[in-house]
Amino acid sequence: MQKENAALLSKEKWGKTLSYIKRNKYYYLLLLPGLIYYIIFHYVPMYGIIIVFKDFSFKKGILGSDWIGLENFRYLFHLSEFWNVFRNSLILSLLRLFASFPVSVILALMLNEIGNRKYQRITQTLVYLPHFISWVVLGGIMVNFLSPTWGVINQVLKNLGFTPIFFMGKPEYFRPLVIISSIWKEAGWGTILYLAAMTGIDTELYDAASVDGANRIQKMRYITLPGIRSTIVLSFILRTGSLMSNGFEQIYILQNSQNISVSEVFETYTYKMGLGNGRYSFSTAVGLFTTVISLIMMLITNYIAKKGGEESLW
Amino acid sequence: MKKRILATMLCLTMAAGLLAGCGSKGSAPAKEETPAETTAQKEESAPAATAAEEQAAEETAAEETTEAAAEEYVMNTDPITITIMDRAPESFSYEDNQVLDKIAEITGVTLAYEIPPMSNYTERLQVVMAADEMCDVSYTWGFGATTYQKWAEDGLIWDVTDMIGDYPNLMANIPQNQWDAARCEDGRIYAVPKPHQDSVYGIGINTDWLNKLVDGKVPANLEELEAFGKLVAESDPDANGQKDTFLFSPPGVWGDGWIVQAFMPYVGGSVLPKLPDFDGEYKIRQKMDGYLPYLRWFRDMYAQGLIDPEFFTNNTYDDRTKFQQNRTAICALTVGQNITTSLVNGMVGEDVDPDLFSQYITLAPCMKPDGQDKANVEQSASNWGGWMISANVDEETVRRILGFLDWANTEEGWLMMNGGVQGHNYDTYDPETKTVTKTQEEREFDKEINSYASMASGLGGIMLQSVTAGDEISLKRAVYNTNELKDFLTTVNVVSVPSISFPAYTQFTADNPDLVDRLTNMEENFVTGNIDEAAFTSFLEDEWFPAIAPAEEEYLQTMNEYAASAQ
Repeated sequence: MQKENAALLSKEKWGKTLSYIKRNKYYYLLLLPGLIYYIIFHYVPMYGIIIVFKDFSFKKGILGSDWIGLENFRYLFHLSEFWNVFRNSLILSLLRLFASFPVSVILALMLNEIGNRKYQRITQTLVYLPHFISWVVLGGIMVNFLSPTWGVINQVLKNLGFTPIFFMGKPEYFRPLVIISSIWKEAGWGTILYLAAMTGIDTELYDAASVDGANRIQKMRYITLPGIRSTIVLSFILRTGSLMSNGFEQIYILQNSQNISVSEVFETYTYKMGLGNGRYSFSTAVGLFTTVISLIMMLITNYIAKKGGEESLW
Repeated sequence: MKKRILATMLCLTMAAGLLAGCGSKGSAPAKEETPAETTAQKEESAPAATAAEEQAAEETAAEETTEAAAEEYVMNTDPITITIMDRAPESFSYEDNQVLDKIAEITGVTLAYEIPPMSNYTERLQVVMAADEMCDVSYTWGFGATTYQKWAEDGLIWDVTDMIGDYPNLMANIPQNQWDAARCEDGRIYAVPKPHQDSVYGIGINTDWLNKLVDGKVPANLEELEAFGKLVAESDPDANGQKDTFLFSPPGVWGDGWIVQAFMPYVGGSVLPKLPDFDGEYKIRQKMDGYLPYLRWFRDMYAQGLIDPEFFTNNTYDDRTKFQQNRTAICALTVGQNITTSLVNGMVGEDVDPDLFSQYITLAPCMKPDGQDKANVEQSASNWGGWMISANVDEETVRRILGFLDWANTEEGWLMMNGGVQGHNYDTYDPETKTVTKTQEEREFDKEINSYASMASGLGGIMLQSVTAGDEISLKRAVYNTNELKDFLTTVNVVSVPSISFPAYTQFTADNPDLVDRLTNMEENFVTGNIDEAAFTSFLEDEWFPAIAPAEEEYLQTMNEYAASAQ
């Protein structure tokens, strides 16, 4: 009897879903190209991940290459620099997360408070612009600006009576340089999401707060921030999903033999050890390893968010 | 209703577009046998010394074959389309290209180019190779790359060793050292080199500073070099009121081979030198008598502030840029056609009369070892990458491709691919200086030709030059460019370096990439004073020498056997 009821319920549920889809069939039809895109370009190629357990050979192809079990991982974990690279990647990612993530939120709040629309738009455009400069160009500018001999920054320091600082030659400056340049380049772009979320806040709340005598800071604290809280939390969870990824270009461009002890991260290491030598299986193994770490971190963050009564991914 | 139809059509169009974008470009012929197996008749991999002997025998055989082939060879001109993946700039336009039409008319070959962005050509090539979607012909930038060896090993590209002898113009225009550069570890050739201009190592010195600081005397030894360096660093030769000038800014510790010459009997080179040390013994670089003295000298220069303190941040050509910006006194060069012209024009910012070149740059040979009259220079294999033929094409097509490459290495083919069609792209051609003159109208069709898109950019070691008709200075410069290398070679000893590969070393670098990387970092850190000599030598003794021992053993055996067979 219970089984029959459950089957009936399930059938009813399916029926409702189907009739919902039928009712909104054109929306679902519009979804189709995106779905096909994801299946073809993101899911189908995933079978290639099996090469981490294979000695990939062009001649034999992905399926035909010889199985070597966990050999690629054994090789990875036994490389002398591996743990140093792991540490560098983690530290840099965490610094990036905790130092640059809040900047976009703060910047978005500040932009939202600009009363003059024209001025707000100009400011917004100006803070977005660095996002479109490639790291190659930006890296070149940084190396030139920070040069102890010819750089503008050290010229200023010299004129102020300070000793020039060899920013690119000292490992202790590498991480701050990466974080500061990341913030400068990407913080503006990161505000888009929060500004969009802010437009969804009911303006009557602000009017009511004004009637109650709330000042700007109070409105920001008690209306705007809670209004975009779920966006912030979701964005944070998603950021933890790419925790081990530091990007290749920026690090590679700022890296040199003098700061290599702190600048070698998975992206640059994989490039040199794997792709440079045509070891595709090994490179994929590194990619899989970092993805698994990121997935675990994302799951933990999502769990904490859910437990804390916040919005979560599922 | 209309809206529904429109929405349905929109979705279908989007989905169709998506599917069209990921459609296969056609089924490749089944790969039953790899060309390497069918044509190479591979033996078991022979020891390198044997490979060297075989190479010598092959050279003789090739010469004989070339002579015979020259008489017999007739190019097949039946129409065929050959697809080419090439590394060329966007300025090259292959659509509505009259030069390509003319080439098709003469040779029967229609060239269908596929040109990805230059900046990520190598990555694109790797993807194409991994997906087994290679064009009939693909350009590879370097033969030293592990990937080229791997593609050959995996049978993705044709082994052309036994076929090239049938093409007399290929054999005539591509010198033996270029063929040797394209040899893989199995001793076979899997790509046809793209011949380029000849060049040798040398240096350029800022003439103004040289005159100002040392009365124009080119430093002849390390002491004089150091003395000159001190004056450059201290005397403010650019008169900007700041001590911001340096002797040189090398691209890495081993980037400036011109100094290495004073310590070791070769310029730059690899970890496994193919010339013996001064005592006549073969040694890996780290065991050569001059290895540590060179690094100590470098460290001393760095500590004294004579070398650009930021040299380790240099990217390709940064050393040249700093020289042109009057920041450094000396710049390492590959002296060949055009080098002085491009350097001086870059320094001045406009075209300079060649008669005035010496006012800006003094060309000089590398440093020389004690007791030697002239500095040594390696005659480098002056190829500019090469052409790989896909294993997916049949042997008949390979023959057509080789036939076409053969034509591209004739004066007619070379001139057409680099200069275009007479009367359309250029006006006159002077075979003596290998220079074409162009009218302004003809210049408008320059987009139809490009040395990157040419199958052979050098003929007899010289590149085609173009000058605008009536521009006397350009004409003078063309003559200067052609003679530059010829004149420079009279001041140096040209040393021949054998082309031998060491499979165990290649394997060592593949198995120990982090150690190889670490050696480079340790050397730079020793030079910059971040680590002391004890730490550096203990790294060599404890980690480097034990790890490289098997590769070293193979290297010594190979080189000693080579030396014995050469006597």
